[in-house]
Amino acid sequence: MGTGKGAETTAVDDERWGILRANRSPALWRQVEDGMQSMNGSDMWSREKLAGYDPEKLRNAILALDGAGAACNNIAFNLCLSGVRELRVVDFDTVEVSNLTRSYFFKKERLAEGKKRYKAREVAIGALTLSYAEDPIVRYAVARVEALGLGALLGAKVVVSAVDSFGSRAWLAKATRLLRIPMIEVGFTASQAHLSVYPNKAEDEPCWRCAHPNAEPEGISCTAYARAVVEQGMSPATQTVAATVGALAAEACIQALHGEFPLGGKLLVLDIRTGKSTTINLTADPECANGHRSLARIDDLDVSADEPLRRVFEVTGAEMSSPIAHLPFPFVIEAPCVNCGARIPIMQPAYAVREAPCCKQCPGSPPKAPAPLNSVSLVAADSRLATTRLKKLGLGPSAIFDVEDGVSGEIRTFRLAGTTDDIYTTLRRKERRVSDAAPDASSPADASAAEADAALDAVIEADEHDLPCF
Amino acid sequence: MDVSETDREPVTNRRLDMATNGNNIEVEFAHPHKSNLFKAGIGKGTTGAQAIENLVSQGFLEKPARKDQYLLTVQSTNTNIPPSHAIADYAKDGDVIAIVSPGIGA
Repeated sequence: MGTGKGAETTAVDDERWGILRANRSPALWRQVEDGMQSMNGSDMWSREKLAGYDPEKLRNAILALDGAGAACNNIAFNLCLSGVRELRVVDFDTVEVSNLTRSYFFKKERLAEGKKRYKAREVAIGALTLSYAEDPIVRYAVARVEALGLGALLGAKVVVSAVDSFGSRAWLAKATRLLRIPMIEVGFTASQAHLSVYPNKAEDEPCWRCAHPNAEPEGISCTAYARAVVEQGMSPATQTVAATVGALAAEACIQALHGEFPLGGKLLVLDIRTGKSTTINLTADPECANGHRSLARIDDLDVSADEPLRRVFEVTGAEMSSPIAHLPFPFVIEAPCVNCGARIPIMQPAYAVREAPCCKQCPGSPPKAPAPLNSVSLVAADSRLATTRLKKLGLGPSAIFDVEDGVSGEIRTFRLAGTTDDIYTTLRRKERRVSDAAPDASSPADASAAEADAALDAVIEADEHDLPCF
Repeated sequence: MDVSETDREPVTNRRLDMATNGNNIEVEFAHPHKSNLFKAGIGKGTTGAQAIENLVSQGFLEKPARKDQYLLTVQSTNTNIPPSHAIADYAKDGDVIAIVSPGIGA
């Protein structure tokens, strides 16, 4: 090792890579932890225990992080260090260079290679590498959270809404209320951070939608047409505000895992520049558009998302008369061209239609008032849509949806076949010494993005099927 | 709702009648980022959403990037007023209604 700044940098990097290598192997990490304990007489979580954390709660925790932007990066960073075992990360978006300064898990070297880097995957890889959990699991999906359906949230102890879209926040508010999972919602603009907490224990508690009745789950709508002509401005933020949100949300998650909700039903707004903060008591709206319903019972169906809807009717038909399926999102059959009003076949769930369609025949035509959309939410057994694959209708693996008895009006909730692994790509560490497979640690700074990728692939056991596409 | 715009110091008056059936109470709306206040006479049925719409049309508030971006909170109780609810059900005469604009990015 030489002297001077360069050599020092290498030494630090060597040390860091050494730690990472140990951390990637549960067996090796346990040795390190045991060794430290015998040396210091204290274990790794001694400080957290003094602060009231129960490491066992974190060791068994499953958290869903919806939205993998700056907030998610900073929340995941804190949760990984805190020893949370399983994270599920969902985002459809890709990393841009401007994201790097607020996102610990997005690496310049990986972006520099020119490959498309999905935010959810980058967070997942980084989180698995960093995690202090003994045997961490990180799952990710490159998708809109609405597209994954309620099944994607099953098993989660806490759901974090870290999405930009108000429509997705509204959907998450409804989904977590249906499944009675606590929801932590975050956001920021410039120097202002906010956090709101929804324990989702009782019907009369406020939900995020109570204060945002017009934030409908997005898809094609009148607002989609408005969006075609009005470009929304982006909200600037800095690492300092993202880090503040990350810490606040991670602490709220950890408290929720302990069954504590000190900020339950409240909205905390904090300006990190001035220090001014306000804690607002949120009010429940008895006429909330989300309905505040929770699911008492979900019956499993032996029907896969690749089968047609009529299979659901065949299976439920023995117990229900003239069953009618309630689709979680309206299925758009056709929609008018934003310019000339001509009908355009769509055949997609509403959440998948992000922009008003436009005919290829009439670019530049003057805008006309759009005709009504043709979409359906209720499908009976004799409908032509009954022959459509469930996945195409927006019901993916493990999807949860209602079926109504057409005679009695009774509604039952069913869940399609499927596992968490059908919804997410699952990353785990390999149970072996990673030093055999890791890149040359003597010059990690010089490693190319391709080498870094290869190294990551070597240490992460990924069940990487095709990216979920619903 | 009857409204006047003020700065906290000094106070100036500009009024707008938002109430459809007369005023029941007078409140002040506090701008989310500036120190400006807007005095308002609130009608019995004036909802939070209607008040925000009026405050935007008067130029007191910037046009929101998204619907329901602004939240109203009674400052004395720190209680949020849902947009479809009547302000008079939550606020009393002389109350300051803080307008909060939580961040929209994540």
